[in-house]
Amino acid sequence: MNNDVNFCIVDDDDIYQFTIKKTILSLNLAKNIIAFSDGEEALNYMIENLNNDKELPDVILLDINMPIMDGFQFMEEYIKIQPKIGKKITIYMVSSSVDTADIERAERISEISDYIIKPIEADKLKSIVEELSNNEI
Amino acid sequence: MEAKLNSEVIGIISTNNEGIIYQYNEGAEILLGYTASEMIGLDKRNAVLIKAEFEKFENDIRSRYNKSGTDANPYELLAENNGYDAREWTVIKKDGTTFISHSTLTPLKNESGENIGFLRILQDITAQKKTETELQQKNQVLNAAEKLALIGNWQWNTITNDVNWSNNLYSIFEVNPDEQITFETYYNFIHPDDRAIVDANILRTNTEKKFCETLHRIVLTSGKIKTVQLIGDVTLDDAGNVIELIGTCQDITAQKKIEFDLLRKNQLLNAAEKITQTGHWQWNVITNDVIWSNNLYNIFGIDPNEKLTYESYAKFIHPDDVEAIRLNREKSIKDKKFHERLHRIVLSSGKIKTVQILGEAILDEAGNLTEFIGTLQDVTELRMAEIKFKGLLESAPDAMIIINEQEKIQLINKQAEKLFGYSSEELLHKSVELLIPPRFKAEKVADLEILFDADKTIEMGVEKDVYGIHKEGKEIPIQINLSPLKTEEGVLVSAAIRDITNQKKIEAELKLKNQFLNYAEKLTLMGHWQWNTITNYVKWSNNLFNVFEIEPNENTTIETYYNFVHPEDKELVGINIARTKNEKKFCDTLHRIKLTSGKIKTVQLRGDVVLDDLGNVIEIIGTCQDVTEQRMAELKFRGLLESAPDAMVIVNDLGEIQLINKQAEKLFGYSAEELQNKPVELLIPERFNKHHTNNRDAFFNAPKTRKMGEGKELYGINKSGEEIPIQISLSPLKTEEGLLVSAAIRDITVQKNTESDLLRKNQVLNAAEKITMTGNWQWDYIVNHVTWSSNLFNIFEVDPEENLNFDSYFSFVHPDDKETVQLSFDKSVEDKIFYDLLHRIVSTSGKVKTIQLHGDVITDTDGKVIELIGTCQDVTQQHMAEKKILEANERLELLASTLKTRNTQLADFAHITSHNLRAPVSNLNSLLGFYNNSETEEEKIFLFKKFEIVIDHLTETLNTLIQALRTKNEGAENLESLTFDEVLSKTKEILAGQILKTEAKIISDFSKNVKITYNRTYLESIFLNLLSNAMKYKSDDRIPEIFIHSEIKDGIQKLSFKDNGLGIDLKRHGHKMFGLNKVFHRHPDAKGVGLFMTKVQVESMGGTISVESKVNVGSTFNINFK
Repeated sequence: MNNDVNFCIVDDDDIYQFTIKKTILSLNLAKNIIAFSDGEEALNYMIENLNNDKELPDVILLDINMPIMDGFQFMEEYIKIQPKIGKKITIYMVSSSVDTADIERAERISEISDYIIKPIEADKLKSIVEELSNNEI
Repeated sequence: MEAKLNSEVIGIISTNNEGIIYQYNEGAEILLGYTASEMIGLDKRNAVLIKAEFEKFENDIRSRYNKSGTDANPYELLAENNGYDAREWTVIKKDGTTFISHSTLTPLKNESGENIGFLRILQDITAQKKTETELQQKNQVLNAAEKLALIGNWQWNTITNDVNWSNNLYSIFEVNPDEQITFETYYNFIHPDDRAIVDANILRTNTEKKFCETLHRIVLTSGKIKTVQLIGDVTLDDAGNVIELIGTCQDITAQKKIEFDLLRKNQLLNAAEKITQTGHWQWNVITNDVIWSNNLYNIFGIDPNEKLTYESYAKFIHPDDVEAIRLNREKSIKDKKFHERLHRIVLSSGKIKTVQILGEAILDEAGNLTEFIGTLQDVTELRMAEIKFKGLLESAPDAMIIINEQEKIQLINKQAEKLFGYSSEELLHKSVELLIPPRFKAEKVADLEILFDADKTIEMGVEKDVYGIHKEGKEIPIQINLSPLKTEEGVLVSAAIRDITNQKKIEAELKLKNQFLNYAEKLTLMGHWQWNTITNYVKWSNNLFNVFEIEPNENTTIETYYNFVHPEDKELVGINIARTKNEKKFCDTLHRIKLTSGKIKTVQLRGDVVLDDLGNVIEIIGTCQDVTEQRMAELKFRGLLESAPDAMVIVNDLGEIQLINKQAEKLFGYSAEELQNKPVELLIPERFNKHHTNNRDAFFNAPKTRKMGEGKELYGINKSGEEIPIQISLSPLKTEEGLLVSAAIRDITVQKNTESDLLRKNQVLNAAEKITMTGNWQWDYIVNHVTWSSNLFNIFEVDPEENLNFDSYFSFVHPDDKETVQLSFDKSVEDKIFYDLLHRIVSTSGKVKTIQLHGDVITDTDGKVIELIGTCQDVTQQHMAEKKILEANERLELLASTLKTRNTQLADFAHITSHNLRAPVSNLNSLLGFYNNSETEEEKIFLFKKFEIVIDHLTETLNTLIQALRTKNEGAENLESLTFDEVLSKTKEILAGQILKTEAKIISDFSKNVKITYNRTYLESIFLNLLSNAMKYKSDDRIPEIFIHSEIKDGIQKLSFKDNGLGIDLKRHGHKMFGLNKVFHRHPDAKGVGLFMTKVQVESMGGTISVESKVNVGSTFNINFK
């Protein structure tokens, strides 16, 4: 199992952050996990490390509902800086919302690989990492 | 004879010193009468000489030699001085008679020079002396004559330079007669300018030995200038040398002056004659001598020295004029009066001249003709000019008469002779009045005076009739053009006279025709025009001016016309004019014109183009008809036609379609053009055609309004061949074009369908049977007379005989609609547009009906409303149905809006459940998983603490939701009157700690709206949330300032909270501003509940809340209570 994946969690829910980190770690899926509690913090980190592939995440698990900058607003900004990023980053929208309006909106954004409804099952996390390594081959 | 004879005899006598004669010749014997023997040896001096003369001799000699006294012997003196004495001696002859002798006494000397005696030579000069005396006497007479003739004579001895002047010469020269005169004396008097002439003449005289006559001026001592003429002769010696000059000198000053004057006058005359090409002549009829002035010679080109007779002149006369001049001469002689002549002469050079001869007869005392004198003028050039002028005059197409200021005719041409029937001779120098009918004389005089004063061309007979009078007394209509001619003879007037008899006749005919045309034009409101496209001048007929309502004038161009064209039609007219010019074919044009008064008319232009040989348009002529009324009528009719709810087809007696309205076009699918003049059978299915033709003929035979197809089914056929069930009403229309039939056709397809439907369903039978009630009406606005169609009477349930006006109609209007109806009609009249109107009426039977009015407002050319026309349909049923639908609709809309609100709330709730409830639940699930798999007690405790957090959060969310749901349901309950002040102060108490901590300034202004009826809890919650938010999200740089303001605007109570805090990026967060658990700041206390609840509360009371914000400036929350 490939475990050199850099995970990035963007979610304002402390409990969620705690549970997802714990799950990733227990499954030994990640080399590193970084977490931000709103989109703006995550975006600032990305801009700071534009050319620093090592620090940039491979996978972002992005929440929708956040203060300051929500998930969709983060995507708008991310698309702007994406050409400057040398690394392929896979983004999953992760939300407790079952509102079809949210799901459809996420589907229209091509940079988002999938929409995952909370809570994330361990199997889902595993398949995410598997898919990543498949794509690399 | 004797004297003469003796004068040639010379006596010589010699004496010794003592006077003894010793020699005595024969001549002496003859002279003295003594013989030699009687004299020799004797001193006979005393016997022969007179003592007195002897004494004088002695004295003369002594004084000559300056010897005074009587002592000196004169003989000795002579001898001593070798002198001689020559003098006249009176000699006494032997017979005692005396004679005068000229005697010379000369001393005789011997060879040694001693005086030996004297020689005396004697000559009888008695005859000479006598002549001399005579001469002297004559001289005296001469002197007198000289004095009179101012002549003097002179002698000039050129050898001695002695000059002798006669007495008169002294007078002429104003010189003292005692003065010794020499040549120089004379020469000094010569006028300096003339000395050269005199010198030259003296020289010539000397060389030619012949006196040269000299005329010169002298300047006298007094300064006076005289002119003298010298005539003389020369005396020569034997050698031929000039020794003496003698002559006369005449003072010719006066003469000279006269001569000079004459000369000058002559010269002047000559010059004058030369200049005027005039000469003068004298013809002595008796001697036939002719005298000419110099210039006449010039004129005739002959030698001035030629001797002239009448024939000298006559031979020059031009052969063609000879006979006339011969007659003239005979007549002149016979009449003793010179008749003026004008004839040509042929000069020897072949040149032809024209001369004019004027003269006068001179009669002697007996009254016999002796002489003709006169002048002759070479008038060739004048004549040429005159001939040219005459030629011009003759070639003029008009009669020409030239008169002078005295109104005497000076010249007339052939045409004038012909016109007036007089010969040129009969009219020359006659008063022009001869040619003017007496009744016009006064006018003519005025005109002429104007002309002579104004000095400009005037035209007569243009505006008024002018007549001339023929020799036979017949009056001739003429047109006169008068021009002043300035000549040396003064101002002349040239009158060009045109016989306008024919023109008058034509004019009269034309006038008559014009009158007819005018009447016709007036009747048809038509004018005609001629447009010369070259000059752009447009001639209008009188009526055209009337049509355009302008004063007739001459200066009409196409622009005049174009200016009147209605602004909206200018383009059309412009295009048509251009097209007319291009296609060389007149484009009939119907357009409007706008008159000066603002009146608008419609005119129909018809015309024709006139081309030149090259095919260019040179003129466009045509008519212009005022079709305004026609057009109005047409429009009115059309309006009526178009506003008719039915299809209308108008057919002539041949069954040809004349007019159809829009409804008909729609019904049959044909355009109006397609049907124009087509047989009406086109619109009738074939199976009815034959039958119809018969019916139609029958109708035209007995025209009256009737309905067709009553009781049976009628069908029309449209363009695509579909049959349409129709109902037709026929009305005869009497027009100028004959009898027309107007057919109102109603498509009853729908009705039919409905009918069958209804029949089938067995519903509302009666209603279906009724035709949709429509009528039309006309309201003559001016006389307030209303005309209704028969259907309208049915709708209103009124007796068709009733006389109607607007009030009749208005009385039916439903009381509740009266105001609306009145307003609508007022507005229609004011705006001149009919506003369609739907209102209720109460019919005679008390039935309430709803009627629909469509219509049109008719204005006259001044834009004044004259009539309203339209239709009126009973739409009661329709309206009822409509009303029902409308009501249902309203209910549905209400339902829909309620549903919408509910839907929104549901959506909100779905959102809240998915975001705010699912999240903690999923967290709980995750934690539960960890909890189950936890191996240590510590881990379990740790996880359990997490559970507590999630559960607290969940509880809070659920509480909020419950509160919100309750709010939504209970919103309108528990209302009480609250003052904003009271609520604010309560809120301040609750937030006292926070206010203290943030030092916030809270300013309120509730003066504009003090209180509100509201749910207390909600209002307090709203204040609490908004105030605490304002402090919570304050800017770190500023002390919070919060301004709360209430007002009523547009009937809505408003409340606003304005702060100077952080502000919110509305672009980013505006959409979720009032969402549950939405937070926009990383504030530890931000929970996203306050605004959510505020919104829920405001909305539950039917209000709205909105926000305006600017990052780092502040936010304003505006609440609109219901």
